[in-house]
Amino acid sequence: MLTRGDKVIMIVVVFAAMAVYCVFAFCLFEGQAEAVSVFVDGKEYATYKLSAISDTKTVEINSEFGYNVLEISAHGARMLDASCKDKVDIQSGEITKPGQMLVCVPNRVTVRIVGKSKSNVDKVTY
Amino acid sequence: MKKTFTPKNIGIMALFVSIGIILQYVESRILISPVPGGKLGLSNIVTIINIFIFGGGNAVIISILRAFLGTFLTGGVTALPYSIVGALFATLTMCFVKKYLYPKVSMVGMSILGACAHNIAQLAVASIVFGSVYLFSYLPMLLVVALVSGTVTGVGAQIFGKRILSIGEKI
Repeated sequence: MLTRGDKVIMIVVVFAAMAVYCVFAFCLFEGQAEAVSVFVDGKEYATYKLSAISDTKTVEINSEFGYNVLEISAHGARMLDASCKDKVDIQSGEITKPGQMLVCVPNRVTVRIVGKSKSNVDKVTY
Repeated sequence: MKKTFTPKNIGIMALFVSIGIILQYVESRILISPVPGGKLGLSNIVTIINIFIFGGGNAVIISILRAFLGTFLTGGVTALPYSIVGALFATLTMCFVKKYLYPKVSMVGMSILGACAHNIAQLAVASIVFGSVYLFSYLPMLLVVALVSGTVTGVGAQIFGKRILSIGEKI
């Protein structure tokens, strides 16, 4: 049932996945995490400095689209609860490296780690 | 089948739209994805068969209608742009494969590329909505999901296609 072309496509997809992973893991997600930024509908909602947090801090994000409960620790952030249906953001686990994101599509919430990164990609998001 | 919009053709196309919607709905109710954001895409089976029966243009119309109506059953209005753009690019990619690579590439390869296009298009929409290119860090995982789900739906399309296409030639 599989032709040679199918196998080529499968191998190409696997390599493409690995290439994209490497780009993000080794080039973009580098450096020390400094703060956690929360965006709602593309606008900045709040930013929390990681150095100011000793244990954990729980933040509730309320907007017209729904609510999310975010837990920020000294080294990262994770989503505890959300009003959306799919809970993708909760399943994503904890983010710790600059550039990594938690996304809640239905509530238009993104949580991003900001840090000192070698590249300036952080500043060119629009 | 001729590509004209005769009442009979419209009826058959509507039938395929509803089969796609049902598959999409059943999938969302029964299957829980092991990967956040990933899904099997059973309605892709219908899209592939449509490309073979109706040709590219009509298959695009069918899958956009299916995405539009099916999303109201499964995802709600926020998922609408993602669903429509994903379906559009997946179908266009598979039409391209059908035109230039088939039969060197079978329905399985077609389906895998379609699934990849679907995910890339949805991530692109999300990147525009959220204004951040960092969302593409999720792409590797989605590509692996596309590889698995594309293979499953591609094999499914081969199995059903054999039976349905022989009927399709008669209508």
